Amino acid sequence: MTQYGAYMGKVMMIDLRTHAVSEYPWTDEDRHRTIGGKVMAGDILLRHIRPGMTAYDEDNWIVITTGPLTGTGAPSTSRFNISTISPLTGLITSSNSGGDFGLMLKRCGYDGCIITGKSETPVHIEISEDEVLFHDASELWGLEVTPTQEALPKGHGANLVIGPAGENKVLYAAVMSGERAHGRGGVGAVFGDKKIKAITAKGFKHPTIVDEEGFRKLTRKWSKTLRNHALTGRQVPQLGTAGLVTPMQARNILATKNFNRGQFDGFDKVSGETLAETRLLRNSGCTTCVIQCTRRCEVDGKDVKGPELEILGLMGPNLLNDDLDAIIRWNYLIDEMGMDTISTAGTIAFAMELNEKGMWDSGLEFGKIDNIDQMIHDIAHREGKGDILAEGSKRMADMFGGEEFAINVKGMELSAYEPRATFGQGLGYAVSNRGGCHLNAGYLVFAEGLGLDVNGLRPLGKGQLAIMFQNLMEAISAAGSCLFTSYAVFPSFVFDRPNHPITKVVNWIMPYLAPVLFVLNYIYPLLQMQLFLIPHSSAIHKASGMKCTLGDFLVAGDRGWNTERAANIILGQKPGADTLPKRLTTEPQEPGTGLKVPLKPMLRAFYANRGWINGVPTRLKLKTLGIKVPKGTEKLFPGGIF
Amino acid sequence: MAKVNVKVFGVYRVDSGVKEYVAEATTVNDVFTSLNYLSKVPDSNIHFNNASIFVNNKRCSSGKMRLKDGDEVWVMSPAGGG
Repeated sequence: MTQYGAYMGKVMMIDLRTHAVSEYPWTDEDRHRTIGGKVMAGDILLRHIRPGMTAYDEDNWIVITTGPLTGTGAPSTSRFNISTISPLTGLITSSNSGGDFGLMLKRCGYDGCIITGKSETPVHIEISEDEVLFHDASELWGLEVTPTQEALPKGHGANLVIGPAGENKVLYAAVMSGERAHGRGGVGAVFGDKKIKAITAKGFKHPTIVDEEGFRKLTRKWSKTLRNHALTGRQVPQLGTAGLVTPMQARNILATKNFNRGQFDGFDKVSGETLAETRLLRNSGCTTCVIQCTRRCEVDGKDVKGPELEILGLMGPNLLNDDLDAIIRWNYLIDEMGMDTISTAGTIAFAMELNEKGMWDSGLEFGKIDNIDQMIHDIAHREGKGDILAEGSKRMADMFGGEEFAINVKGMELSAYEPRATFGQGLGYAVSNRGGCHLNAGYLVFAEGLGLDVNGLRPLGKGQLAIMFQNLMEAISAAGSCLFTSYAVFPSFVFDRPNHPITKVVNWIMPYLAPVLFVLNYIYPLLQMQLFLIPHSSAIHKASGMKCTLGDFLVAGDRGWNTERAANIILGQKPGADTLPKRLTTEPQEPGTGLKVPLKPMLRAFYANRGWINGVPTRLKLKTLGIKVPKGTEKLFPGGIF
Repeated sequence: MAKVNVKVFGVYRVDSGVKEYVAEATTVNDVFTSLNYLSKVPDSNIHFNNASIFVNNKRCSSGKMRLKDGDEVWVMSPAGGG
């Protein structure tokens, strides 16, 4: 139970071996330390994991968590998180979506749900306010995502399901909540390993709001800010994330031909503008969202979720493909199979280059798209050569060579941003806890041209900026908020007026703030204030009654980052894992910037400011943040300051 | 006056209905006069300060930059959201 509002006060634990359901001990002190979401999940996993534990161990936990703002009606707060040990990286993965399951889990009276053990046979777990039921799902096994959802009992509430890819343990299989994907890191494969075909939840409880009037006043103002903002009010609703294809092309950031370069002649055929002008039925969004970034398109007469930037870039320019209809179709097909679009696309690009270099006859060629539909199907079902692609680019490089152009970090394929034109993003990719993820990276590309215009071709200040962005995004995610709300952290003016002298000063000065940020990144606890540009912390305080200043909020973000890193160290992350594929650090981008990512100096600055030694948090750092590692693992963390 | 090829992107393209045209312009600032004229948005007011401009694949930081025949000017709305 909890004394706080906003939270439901219970975390459920389900044992698939015995079908026992119990309550996991989660205290108000834990709530204050972690807020919720992925930080909470990381904390739960850190208490549980042991060296040598792997994704398919019976005792690998799946931790599903919501945030305090989930279900409160605050704008863009239907996000929820799934964390577990990733079969793709062997490390902690956290994957987040805006599907309705999180909202419904809270309405059942739970802030989170932990699943342990394995089922002998396919299972559908039904969660309600009063009980948890286990249904045989043998008849659902083998179905794709939509047929699975349609076969669930009518009025089942919200669902989490896997498709064939999860059943066949494709290392980058997704879990789908409605149309929304928990794509990254292979959480779907862990579901498949535990024989969980579906989880449904239906309830009618609502979290209490402690300061109802103050909270409504704040959220009304927050919604208005988001609606009037240049990015969240205009750019993203009108063009979706697809609107980034063109600015990425302009800045040599658009990954092309397996990250050989950053520009593609046919970019406009797959741009957000062309999508909006020729294929867009309408835009839509997650429940409670005021931004509405989702594209709706038609596939075979069906109104389906359209492509986002990542698949447009990675199945477009990165495969030398300019067929927009094919990408829209593949997007739907990959979702139906229940796979991560980013890793699917990145692995296909790697297979194309292996083939081009004569290292493995994958049957896939850059610019040739007539066999991609079949390959997507084959990957999901692990048939033919698809069985090999189902292992991801890292393991394929182990089999066939080509490690230098296997575009992954820690085993996870990179998003569509070519970092040789956005150094800060390159640093972020390298240090990201879950692997080659643009968001866990800190999304510095947003500052380096896709929003602000900080010089992306200089390493200065990027280590400190990355930490600031990472901690902020980690905390926003923990709150249950969409990361797109972070765009409104910056005043609309700097986007509306990109060439105004004030904006130019902001862009110019940010890297030089490194010493200030260095100090700031260490003194969050002193920030005992609220800042309207970051309304999340104030909203949490008003909704829950829990003390949550800007400082508390950022500390929770910092704690989340360090918790996941500590867990990764225990799971066996080696020194040197924070790196990029050699193509990006040793080959200049030609044609393009003519530059490679200067990783080492940025990494030094990053580690120093994080309080890490060679990528490992010191015991002092962990102690400062109140992070306790399991007994016997303390020796994995160096002493001293840093 | 130089004859330059202007390409419009982002929200500005979707709103204005202008994708690409040839403009007569001495400086980058001149491009906006014709763009606002061609736009289907009443009282269109796209100008140098509220657009990201690239000339021949390079970021342009001054509206007074002189153009020459055959230059390619990209006019883009603010970007963000990935």
